[in-house]
Amino acid sequence: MARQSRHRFGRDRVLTALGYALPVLGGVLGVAYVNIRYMDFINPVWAIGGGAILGWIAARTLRRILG
Amino acid sequence: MAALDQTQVKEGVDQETVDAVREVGTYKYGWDTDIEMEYAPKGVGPDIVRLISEKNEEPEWMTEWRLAAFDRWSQIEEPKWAMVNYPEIDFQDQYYYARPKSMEEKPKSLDEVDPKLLATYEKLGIPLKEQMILAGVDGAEEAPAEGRKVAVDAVFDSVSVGTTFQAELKKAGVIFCSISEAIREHPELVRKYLGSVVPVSDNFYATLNSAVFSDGSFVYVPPGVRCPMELSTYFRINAENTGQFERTLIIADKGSYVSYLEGCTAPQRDTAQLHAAVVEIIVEEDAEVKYSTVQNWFPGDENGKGGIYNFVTKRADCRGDRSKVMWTQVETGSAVTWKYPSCILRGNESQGEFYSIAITNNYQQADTGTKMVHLGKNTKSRIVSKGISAGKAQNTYRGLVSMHPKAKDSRNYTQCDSLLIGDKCGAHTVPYIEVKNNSSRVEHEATTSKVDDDQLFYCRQRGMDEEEAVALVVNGFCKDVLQALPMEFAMEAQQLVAISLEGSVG
Repeated sequence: MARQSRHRFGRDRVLTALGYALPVLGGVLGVAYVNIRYMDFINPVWAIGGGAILGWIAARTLRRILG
Repeated sequence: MAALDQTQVKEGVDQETVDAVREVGTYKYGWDTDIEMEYAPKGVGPDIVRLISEKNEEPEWMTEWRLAAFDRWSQIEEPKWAMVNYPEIDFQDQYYYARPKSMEEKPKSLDEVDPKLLATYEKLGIPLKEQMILAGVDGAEEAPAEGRKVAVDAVFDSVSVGTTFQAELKKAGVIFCSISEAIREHPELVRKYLGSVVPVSDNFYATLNSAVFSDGSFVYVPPGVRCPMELSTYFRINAENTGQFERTLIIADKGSYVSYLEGCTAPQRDTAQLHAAVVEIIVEEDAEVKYSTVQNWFPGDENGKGGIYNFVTKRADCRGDRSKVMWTQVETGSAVTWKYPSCILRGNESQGEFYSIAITNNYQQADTGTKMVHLGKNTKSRIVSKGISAGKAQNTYRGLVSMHPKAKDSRNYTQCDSLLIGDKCGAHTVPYIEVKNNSSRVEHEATTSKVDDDQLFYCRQRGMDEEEAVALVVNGFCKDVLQALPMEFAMEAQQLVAISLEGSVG
């Protein structure tokens, strides 16, 4: 019982962290994309914002599926 | 310098050390090679044009092409619109063709090559293995090379001394040779493309070049081939009172890729010398060309005496859809620079990039920039220009961005920064922007600043002397362009930036 609760607690911590980590990762990937495809003249604000929102959606979906 | 000449050298100090000390703070490649030369008579005229053509063993059509160019040149006037001042050039008081006597016939073995010529290349830093190939040694091209390979075409005054790794490139289908060899061996390619990007009557110096060009490089990359190594040409002016007129023709066929590097040096002399070159690049569908230059001609002494007058026409024609061209240049030498590498973005979705650092010190003058001509739909271009002026130098950025009516949804971004070191130099920006459709976007950013005292103070606090601090600040200023250079050139260029500004502070 105690082990199951610890396991659940650990999983909750990971799922909570994903909610923060994936939007940040999305933003970082947005920055990388802007720099690699610099001739596309993408506005960095859109790329970072878009990346962060996609990361947030990904985190939310994961939490739905796993949680 | 004079003080060093007068200083008595202590016993036991070898000549190498004395030379090394003498070279500190001076132009590194200012020495000349004492080699027996063969000259064409002074001046330019139809006879000289025919003589150059004859020396290169050219077919009749090429001679006729040159003569037509000369005819045109004698009718046009030297342009005066650039922001450069120099004494009038007497075009009849210089040699248009000079080659080492030993190069009359291509040497078959290393023993046949003039040792002075070999020593020149060694001093310029071209590896010994490549020297063997430059010397035309049979089988030397098969020798395995360590590390990253760079094929070199070495041009000494009016002749190409040799081209390395030709056999290996041939296996990949790439043709890399001197233009004189290409005219003889691949006339169909030369005839098709020569003058198709920079026409004979393009401008005064291009027309002169068309009439009297002696050598240069030719590159053809067949469809779908990624050139297996970097290609480079090293231009060396050695003979006195001689102009260098080289012609470079690069053709990147469909889906191919090539990176080409260009370096140049000249001896330190009190008299100015003329260099008028033409570079033509043809980029077909989905092909990509990177062209990098580290221009290190002798810039003249601290009083503005001597140096090279550098009048160059460089142009790339992106003919195919999705073709790409990238110009990167580091201009540190020459007394007068007149150079505008351009891109004609003809194919839809084609891209042109231009990255430039122009450093002028003492009495140097540079009028340089680029032209981006957008003709196709969705074409994109990017210009990053960094100009640094020190001493009493004048640096001008002159750029054209033209969006034609059919160039719908095209984009351009221009960043043009100038840095002033001292209070007697000048930086000028002359941007031309023409937009003839309402769906294109053009952005232009420009800044002019002085080296920040706070930054210098911060560096000096950490034990750097003033010159080191300025070099660090300038290298930071040029970072965007240095990053666009191939690795080997980036290191050299970074050092060159620091050397070029020696003596500019204090």
